[in-house]
Amino acid sequence: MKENRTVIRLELIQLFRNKAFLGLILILLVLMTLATWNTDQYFQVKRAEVKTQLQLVEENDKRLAAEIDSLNGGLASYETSYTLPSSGVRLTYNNHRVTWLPFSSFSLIAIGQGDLYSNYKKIVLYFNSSYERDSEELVSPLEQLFGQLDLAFVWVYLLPLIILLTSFNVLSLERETGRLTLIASQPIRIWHWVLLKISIRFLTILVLIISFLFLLLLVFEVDVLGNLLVFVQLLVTLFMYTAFWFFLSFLINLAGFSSGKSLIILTSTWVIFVFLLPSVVNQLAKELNTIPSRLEIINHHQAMYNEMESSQDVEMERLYQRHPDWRSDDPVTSDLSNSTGWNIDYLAKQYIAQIKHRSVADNYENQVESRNAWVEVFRVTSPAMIIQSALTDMAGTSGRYYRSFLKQSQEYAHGYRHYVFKGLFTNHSFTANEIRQLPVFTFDYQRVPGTFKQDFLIMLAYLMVLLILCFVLSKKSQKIN
Amino acid sequence: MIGHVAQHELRRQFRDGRIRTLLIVVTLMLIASLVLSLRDYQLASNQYQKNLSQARKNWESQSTKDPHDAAHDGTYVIKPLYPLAMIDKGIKQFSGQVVHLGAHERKQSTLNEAKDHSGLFRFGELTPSFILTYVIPLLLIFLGYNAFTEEKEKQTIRLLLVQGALLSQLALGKWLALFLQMIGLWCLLFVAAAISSYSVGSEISADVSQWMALGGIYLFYFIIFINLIIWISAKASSSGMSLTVLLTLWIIITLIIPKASTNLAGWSYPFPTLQTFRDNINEDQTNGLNGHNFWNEAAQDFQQKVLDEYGVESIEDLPVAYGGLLLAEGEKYESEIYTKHFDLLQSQYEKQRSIYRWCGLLSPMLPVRFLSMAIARTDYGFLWHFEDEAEKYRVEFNTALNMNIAENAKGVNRYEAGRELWASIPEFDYKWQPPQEILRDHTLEFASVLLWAILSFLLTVFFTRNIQIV
Amino acid sequence: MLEAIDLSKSYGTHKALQDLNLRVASGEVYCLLGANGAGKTTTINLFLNFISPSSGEVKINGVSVNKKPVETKKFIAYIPENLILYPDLSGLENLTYFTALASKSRDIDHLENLLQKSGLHMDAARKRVSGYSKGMRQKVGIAIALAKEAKALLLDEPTSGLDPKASNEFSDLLKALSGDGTAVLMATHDLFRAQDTGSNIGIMKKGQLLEDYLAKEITLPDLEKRYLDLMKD
Repeated sequence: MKENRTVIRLELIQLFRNKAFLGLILILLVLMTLATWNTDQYFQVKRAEVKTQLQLVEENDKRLAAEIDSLNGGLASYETSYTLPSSGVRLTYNNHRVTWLPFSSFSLIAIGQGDLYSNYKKIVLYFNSSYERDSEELVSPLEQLFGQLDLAFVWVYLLPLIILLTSFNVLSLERETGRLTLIASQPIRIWHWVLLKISIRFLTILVLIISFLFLLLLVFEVDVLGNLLVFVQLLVTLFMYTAFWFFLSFLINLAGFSSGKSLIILTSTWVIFVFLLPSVVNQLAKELNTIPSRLEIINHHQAMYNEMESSQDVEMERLYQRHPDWRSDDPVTSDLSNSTGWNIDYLAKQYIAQIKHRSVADNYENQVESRNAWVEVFRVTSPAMIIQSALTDMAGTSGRYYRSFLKQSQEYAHGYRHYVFKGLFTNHSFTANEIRQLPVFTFDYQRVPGTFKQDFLIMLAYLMVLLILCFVLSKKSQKIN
Repeated sequence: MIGHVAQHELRRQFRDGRIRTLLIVVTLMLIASLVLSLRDYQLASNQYQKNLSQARKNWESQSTKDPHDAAHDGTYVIKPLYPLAMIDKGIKQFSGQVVHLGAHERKQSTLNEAKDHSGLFRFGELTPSFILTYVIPLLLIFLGYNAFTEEKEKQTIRLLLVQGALLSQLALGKWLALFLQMIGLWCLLFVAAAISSYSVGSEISADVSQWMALGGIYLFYFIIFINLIIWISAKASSSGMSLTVLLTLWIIITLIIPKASTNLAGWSYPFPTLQTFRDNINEDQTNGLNGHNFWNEAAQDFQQKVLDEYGVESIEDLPVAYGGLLLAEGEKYESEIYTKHFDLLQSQYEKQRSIYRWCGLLSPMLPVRFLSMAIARTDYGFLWHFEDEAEKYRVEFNTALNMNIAENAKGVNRYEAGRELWASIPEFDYKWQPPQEILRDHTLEFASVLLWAILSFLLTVFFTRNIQIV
Repeated sequence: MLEAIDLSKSYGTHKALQDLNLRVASGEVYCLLGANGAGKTTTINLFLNFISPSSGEVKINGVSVNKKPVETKKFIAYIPENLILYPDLSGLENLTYFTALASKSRDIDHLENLLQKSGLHMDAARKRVSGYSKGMRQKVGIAIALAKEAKALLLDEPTSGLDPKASNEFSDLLKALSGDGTAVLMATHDLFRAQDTGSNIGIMKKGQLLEDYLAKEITLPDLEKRYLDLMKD
């Protein structure tokens, strides 16, 4: 027992006297710090953006409600229906809604798809869009191409390389220097000893990363205790991924290649898992799940719009049959020279075109979803993909979150549209209370089910396979000279 | 002597089964990426033609309506794909595919393809540029990391030197051996790609000089890596050390610096948020013409100008519909404001670009990638150029519709136009930015690549002369 | 203590060792002489279980090496021709490390004593091994063997490359060890060292042990003459 402690102590001493090891660890920790700082800055901007948007809505609503109050109190009068605060036109054009995707406490670990999407969406009722789930941002596409420096990148891409560089020659170096003969003359099994050396490196790196991460989370004021479950999941994820690369390195060590060969094999494996397999999966997803061009969908919408315009009366009648509560005898509603009448006509046309277009649009979205689901399934081919997707899920910045957010926003927009249109189409005078109680959006997390259990099991399977291979190779006698 | 060394080096490598395997695998990857890219390109250019004519058909088949309503409904212009985009897709997946042209508002490109994919899409696609920028340098490292260290470890270097070889000759010979292997892969890719692009026979074609320019950039990129490999291998104490150092360099050059420079550029010269950008535009527009506001000061001034021009007293006396003139003038004015703000954004990007240029001194991948994307017309420059051209067209398009109102709506209640008008509006004819202009815009990037190549070569030649033999 | 019974090792058709029968008892120093490729190192590697015999058996302390490799290694210590230690550790730390690997627990004073006994000064013992000469490293190797309290010591050309003084010190250490009852098997080219240090001398050629003598029964000149005669084809 005491001897084991001595061996471990001296291994650690050697590790921390090794300049290359210290250099790599330093690079890792510096990159982790930079990544966290960058992500923090990034999300501060995004948070401020959402806050501004929500404030704008609140102020607008307050102002409108106050105007209605003063109108009803006879304190103000308005010349045109366009500016009348209680009119549906005013509500439609001046008081947009904002839906927003809440930020996870652990958003600090991955920007994920956050550089592609805003965390808020302006819901307006007048925009003639064929692509309701779109969101608009102002980002340099170069930023999106090269991607952001975040912890997920450091862990998924760089950590494995650092692991491989610090462990690829644990055995081969001993053989190449000739020291192995001395080791092998001791009453121990070589593979036990290699396992010990690898495990010491594994635990050292893991403990360093985790304690440093904990420190970073404290410095950047992340509520770790309040989100203990996510934190534990994060630790397990890191453990599994780090273990995967160390076991791989152990396996290649046992296989008995020379140092150079081992490093080439390990680096190639890294390229395969981090670059090649993901790109092949993406490519296959495109080939096997062919989806028509988004451009066709736009053109279809335009064609539907033209079609609707050429038979507008029939289409309007159909609309009222579908929404009898939108029908009104008020002459204002059919007077095109009145702003209410004109807008009812204008908005109805857009709405009808959208309804006519919807099946095609939804079908397209569904095809996109099923292709992405296909990719999600085949993420199992590479631990890098599993971990990337797990980390972005924990950070609440995965594509699944943003796409669900846009879908939920679209649904909210429909509900909201129906609510406002009912009032607008019947020339209803909105009250201040109605303005204060407009339907509110909340993001439904249940619709983005977690994948931690699956990720855990798949990673476990990877580790088991490696373990079995290691076991088989450990039976093979080791070349000593 | 150099030739002998190179020959020996090549023989040594081809006898090594693992090198043969690596070469075969990379060649297969290259071919696969090329075939896939070619198919993608064919598909994209077919879709482009089809969707473009469908968009025009939709425009022309609109029912009769107020021309300004038609302008509001608007039309789309689609970004074309240059044949060289087959090699480098650049920012294509992130920058949107179409621009909607309507009344009063300049819009950004929409339909960002990347948004249609899951986050795993960010791992990348199997494209030639991926193989060129990441895989081939790595392959070169694997081929050459032990060029010198093995001779040192087996002490054959002493024998070679005793036989009268000079260290610089050894270095050049080994350099040549790596270069020859690289040039094989390089030829395979660029010749095959160029030939297949001509055989596809799309309407757009890039001349040979542009293919050569694109190929030349990558040739320099590989030479830089070969120089570094030979240098490190000569300096390193062991093969393991050489490989470790080279891999670390590779990570820094291809992964860390590009990402870090992006962040640095973003921190130093951030883009405004969309809200701020729009607020700024709105602020400028509040007091200006907008075509629907007849009452503000700018509208009053314009009205006076028009009345003076026609020498009449009131709007009613004008021979044309004043509303149309106001719309047309408002459109021009609004477009100027948009242009001003988009130009500001572009100048912000130009500042970011200066950061990328400085970082290019740390990683040759940056200038190489910027040049490659520029030549392939998949860079930010292309995006700006296309959107600027589309905006010019949008003003023409709106002017034509609004002037039609001015000419025909005089005294008509609810004037409407029909298909003849829609068909008479000219189509958008995008002219590619000439290659000379692009190259001029990228002189610094090119100089940076050249600097890298020359300096690293000198490094190899000078510093291998005094390496430690034992 | 060390025992080879009808031991053979072949690589394909090449016979590296043929029907070797050898016994080294406690307190004996058995020196194997022979040209390169005679089978000396093969013999030692077989005792260490670095390679497996094609036929025959190797026993250490009566235990079969091939059947219980880990157990037999408890009894032996090994010093290769060029002993390489961990450069980032000091001599003392290296000794501590290898002693712990041998599952022996020794306190630090004891280990320091052993280093001194092996002839390494304490100030040197606390410096990193990266600055050691070969002789200093061999001394650490001896200390490792001492700390392990090995019953048998296997040496492969331990004195090659040592200067005569260091070589002499090494011989004295070996004599002291065998005096304490350790069995020593040493492969060497050095006839003088063999005759001086050894109790038994065997001459090998092409995988066969041709002749063996008791050291006290043969003089150095006779041994040299015999050796050269045997090496002739």
